[in-house]
Amino acid sequence: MGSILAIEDDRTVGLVLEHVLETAGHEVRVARDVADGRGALAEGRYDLIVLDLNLPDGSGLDLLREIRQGGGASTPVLVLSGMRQEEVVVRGLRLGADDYVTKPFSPHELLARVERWLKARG
Amino acid sequence: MWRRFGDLGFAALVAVVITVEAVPLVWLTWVVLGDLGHHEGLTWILLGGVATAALGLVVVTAYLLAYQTVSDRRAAALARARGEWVARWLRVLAGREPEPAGPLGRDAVGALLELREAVRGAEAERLLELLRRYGVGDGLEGRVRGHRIARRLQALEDLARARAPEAMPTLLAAVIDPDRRVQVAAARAAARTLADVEDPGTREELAEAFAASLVAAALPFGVIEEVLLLADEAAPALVRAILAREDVPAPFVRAALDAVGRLGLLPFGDAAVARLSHPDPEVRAAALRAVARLHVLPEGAREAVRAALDDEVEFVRIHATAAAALLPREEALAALWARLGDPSWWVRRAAADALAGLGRAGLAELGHAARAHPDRYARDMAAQALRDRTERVVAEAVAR
Amino acid sequence: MRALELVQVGLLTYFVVLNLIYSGLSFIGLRTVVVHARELSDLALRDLLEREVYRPVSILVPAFNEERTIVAAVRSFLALQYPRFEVIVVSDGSTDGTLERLIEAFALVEDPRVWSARLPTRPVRRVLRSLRHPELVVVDKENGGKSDALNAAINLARYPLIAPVDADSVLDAQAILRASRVFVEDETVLAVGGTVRPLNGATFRSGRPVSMRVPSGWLERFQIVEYARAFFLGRTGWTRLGTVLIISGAFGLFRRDAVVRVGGFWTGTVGEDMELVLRLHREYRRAGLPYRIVVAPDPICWTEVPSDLRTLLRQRSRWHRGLWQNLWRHRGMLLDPRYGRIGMLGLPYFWLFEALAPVVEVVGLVTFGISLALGVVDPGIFALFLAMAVLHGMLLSQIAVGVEAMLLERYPRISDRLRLLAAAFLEFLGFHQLLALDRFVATLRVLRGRGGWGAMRRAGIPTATS
Repeated sequence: MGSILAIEDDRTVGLVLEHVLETAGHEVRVARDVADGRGALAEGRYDLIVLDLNLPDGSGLDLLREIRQGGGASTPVLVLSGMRQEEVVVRGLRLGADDYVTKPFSPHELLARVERWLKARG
Repeated sequence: MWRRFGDLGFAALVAVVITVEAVPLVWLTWVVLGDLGHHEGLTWILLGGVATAALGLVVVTAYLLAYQTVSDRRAAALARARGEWVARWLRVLAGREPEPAGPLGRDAVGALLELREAVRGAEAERLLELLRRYGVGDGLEGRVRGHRIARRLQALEDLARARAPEAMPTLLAAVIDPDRRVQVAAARAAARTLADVEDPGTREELAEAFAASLVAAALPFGVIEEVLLLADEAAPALVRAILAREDVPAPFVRAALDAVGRLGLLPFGDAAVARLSHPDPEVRAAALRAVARLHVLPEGAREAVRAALDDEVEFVRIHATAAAALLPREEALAALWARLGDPSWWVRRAAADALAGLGRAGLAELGHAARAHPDRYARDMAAQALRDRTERVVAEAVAR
Repeated sequence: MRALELVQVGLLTYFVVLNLIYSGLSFIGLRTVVVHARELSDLALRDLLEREVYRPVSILVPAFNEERTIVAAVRSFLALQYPRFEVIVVSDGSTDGTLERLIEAFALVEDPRVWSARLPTRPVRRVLRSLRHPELVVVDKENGGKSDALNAAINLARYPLIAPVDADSVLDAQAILRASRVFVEDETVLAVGGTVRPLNGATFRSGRPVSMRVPSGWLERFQIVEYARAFFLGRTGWTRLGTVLIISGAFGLFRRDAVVRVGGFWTGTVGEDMELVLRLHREYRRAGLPYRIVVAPDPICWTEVPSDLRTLLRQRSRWHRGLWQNLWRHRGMLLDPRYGRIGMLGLPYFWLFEALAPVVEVVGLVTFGISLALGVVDPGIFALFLAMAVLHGMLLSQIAVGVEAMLLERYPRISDRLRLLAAAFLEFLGFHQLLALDRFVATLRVLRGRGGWGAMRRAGIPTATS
């Protein structure tokens, strides 16, 4: 059981994430944009972050860089994005994302990945 | 970006107001020009003008104030209803709630389509079943065949989300609609739908029909390119269908060859090689790009690349430099050395980049060119390419 | 007396025809916006962002002494939602700390690159590149004016689409995305213009207004109404008629090859944005090539408008001189059927109802004043006429501002909407006439100095805010 921060602007995807993760017993907070995400990160501690890349007020990659340079250096980050270009995926992984899932996504697969990272973290 | 309600009402209102207001204006011109200076009735016409303008202003202002007051609440209510339906469908999928009784309202359908867009795998299949169960696709197809353009486009967008293979015939018919906007929207929807067809036989068949419609509609390059990207795993089938046709115009060949290179479709290497000497320079360039990206250059095709290096069209030479790297090493180095002295800056740049990508031998050749190339511009370009490379290595190290 | 009457009749007719055109254009514009909003596919925009369908864009930012705002501006451009773009800032011989600020903020280093100088410009001193943002290029060149700076940026641009923008503007995060979609669907499109909205009174975070209020100054309020009329109704109306003659210098997207083909920006005008569009029309029509130049209502660019009268008058005077220069330079296209709607519809309108409007208005005010004094005209009739004119103007303003209410990002308060309505009324109590006079004077200046148009003295890039 972990506490998860999802930074995702699409309402539907946010709801799917909430549904899937909460049904599995995790605690989920959804942030709608970069600023909101920063706020959530400042307020609480999370066991895992699900991050979208195209956010209305900036790029998730910038936020990822901040997370890695700031306090959450060891929190697993799973990128969930519609961008499937190789270069974007590579950039995300280089910046320190632990996993990259493209949209549309399979909820079961996502849950399995999330739980693997939570387990690895102990 | 836009609120999609209340706008038609506003436009209709403005149409009425403006028409009514035009009456005194036109009359005024008539009277003034008609009997120069005789002011009988002028006062009344002007009064009419003032009255209609004032009335129009009051009506429009009232509408806007009302709109401003209700629209935020209405937008929020719409979003809430949509969200509730998404949550409800998720519970239905999880088997925690029975399927709702039909027919479905707009929010229910919208939520279903958004979910179908968001997820894939088993859930996506279940969602498609639900769409079928409630006859959503049929309704949308009916609207696509309707008359009102905005409704047709909206229905095509919804079908693009639904990705229901059974809608393909309707979509393909819409691809050859007389209206270009419908064509583009239908092509997008058909491409997304085709991407979801898994059975290879059906896929090939649909791809062929789709290619025929695309050619018949003579869609522009950008749209073909987009279609090939959206088709995802069905792209090879579509590429094959396009390249197999005799009647296909050059933009289609270009887009197909670009897809070959981008997706690394090795089986189409021959198709690219066969077009290295195509009469259309854009197609030649696309073929060279594809060959360079696939890294395949059969011996028999080398001559075509050699010829392309001296092509009279600048951008063909640019892409030829990238393909030249596939020539036997010594020959490649010599050819790129020669292109470093090309009159076009862009060709020189491409030649230097190609050399920089040729490993140690290429870099050595660049270094040599920077010092000893007979052409001054070639020396500059070689030096620049070397600097760029160093800088990139440094920048990457810093970013890490 | 008779002559005075004839002048009056002429003026009246001019006024009525002008207002009928405005009404018609407004309706066409409104209809275009509504149709556009309905037909717009959000899904297509997302696919554009997430797949590889986009055309990469070079954003060109000419800057002359912008040390106060340049860093924030570049940051906002770097934060745009677009898969691949570069930002090229050209310091056009700035004499303040513009370059130093940039070097500091973005860790710039000298980049001894060679490039293809297709367009002639004043000498470039050096090119700088950022260690932090590989997509940022800064050019340090000798002063040559805005057009010259833009041409230097075009020479360095790597991508097929270029977007000249003003350094004091904020682009909506999706502006480039929305404008570039048009290029995907139609290969013959050469240029796409957007909508410019005043940013005064709004607070921004990464290219998105987070709070919007109507500014407290009336001058700024008047301009909000003006911009809404010009963009939501006027330019969208013209685009429906296939007659776009201006793409605002604050933001537009052009095909680089087309701009280079016609020779880049002309350095001899203060209205280089309109001039380029006219030249594109001329050259493509002459060559018989199919092309389109369009304006879309939702790629939005926010710009700071002058808040003091002097700057505003100077700006408008410059715009009007630019308009005259461009119309005169391209007078050969006027009423020439070879240029289609541009020559037969667009340009005649601009001559008659844009360039000459302030002259007619000032002459009209004077003759009516004289007529009233001489008792030639009935004061009652005059008052009615005036009331009708003002109400009509207010009505059109209200319709234009109404389009803004359909946008998600609008002035959220009812009180703000009423303030804008008040501005639409108060505009006629002096402001409107003052601007007419300003442009009238500009026209006179142009007439006096006609011979010297080619050799205009330029003082770097004129900025709206100083």
